[in-house]
Amino acid sequence: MAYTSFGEYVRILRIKHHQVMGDMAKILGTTTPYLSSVENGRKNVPKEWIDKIEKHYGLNSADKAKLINAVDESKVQYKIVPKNAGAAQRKAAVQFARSFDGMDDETAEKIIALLNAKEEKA
Amino acid sequence: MDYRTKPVSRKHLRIYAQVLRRLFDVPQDGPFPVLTVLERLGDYFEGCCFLVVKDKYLPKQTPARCTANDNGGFTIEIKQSVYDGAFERNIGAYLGFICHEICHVFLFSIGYRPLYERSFANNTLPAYCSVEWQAKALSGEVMIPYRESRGMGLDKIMETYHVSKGFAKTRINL
Repeated sequence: MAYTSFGEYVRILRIKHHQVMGDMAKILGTTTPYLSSVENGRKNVPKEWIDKIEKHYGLNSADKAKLINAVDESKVQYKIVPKNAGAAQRKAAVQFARSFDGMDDETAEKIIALLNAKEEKA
Repeated sequence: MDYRTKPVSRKHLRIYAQVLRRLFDVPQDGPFPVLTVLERLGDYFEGCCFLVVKDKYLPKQTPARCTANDNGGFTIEIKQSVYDGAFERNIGAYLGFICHEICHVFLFSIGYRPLYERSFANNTLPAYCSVEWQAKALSGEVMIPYRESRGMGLDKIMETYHVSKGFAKTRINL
């Protein structure tokens, strides 16, 4: 168990603003266990939190970009919307999701880079 | 459950209390900002973090606990009712529970580690070499600065330092 990039980002934000987790839970309209589980990578960051954090803390565009990046890096679950995907795509997505479990970061990053490069070519 | 560790004296615990305050830039007098220090735990103790959990995830008699994690540090798990009570109502006992866990991390980091693999039943070890007693005593010293609190009565100690009646009584009896 450790803080995710998002967890680390908001922890530093709180320290800068002399706040603790309880303050931020109120700002985000959530409970402390929920915020805590997001910070520790047990749950994904709800999308609406990005705007709430940006508005409340008056983030500039560079800081917002850092926040979005941290949110992306902290994703623990990926949603597949079946109605938008064909049977083959669904099968491939599930296979990939299973394969990524337990894979080391370096290998996963290389695979993602390969797939991205393929998409760019297409 | 308790573990045996190297012995510590009350005199040394008072010094450690000052060190802990200094580490987190907390003045040597006045109340100890437990929740603020909790936020900054990972800054000074590598791999350490905290997690607020729903009450049902920890045993009934466990308000908070400190366990080794995969990052070479510790995770302090705190019941929601305990964290929220400390945050919203400044409940002394709850602040004390959290401070107790912070003290476990600190003591471990300065070498007060379990001497054996085996655990012992609570209250069976001599206090001075009990991991649990040391953390409890240190949290009292951290939350109630010894010198400043000299001559204070029970209510004054509770009010000044946001501590429980139990902690205040212990201080008066020292």
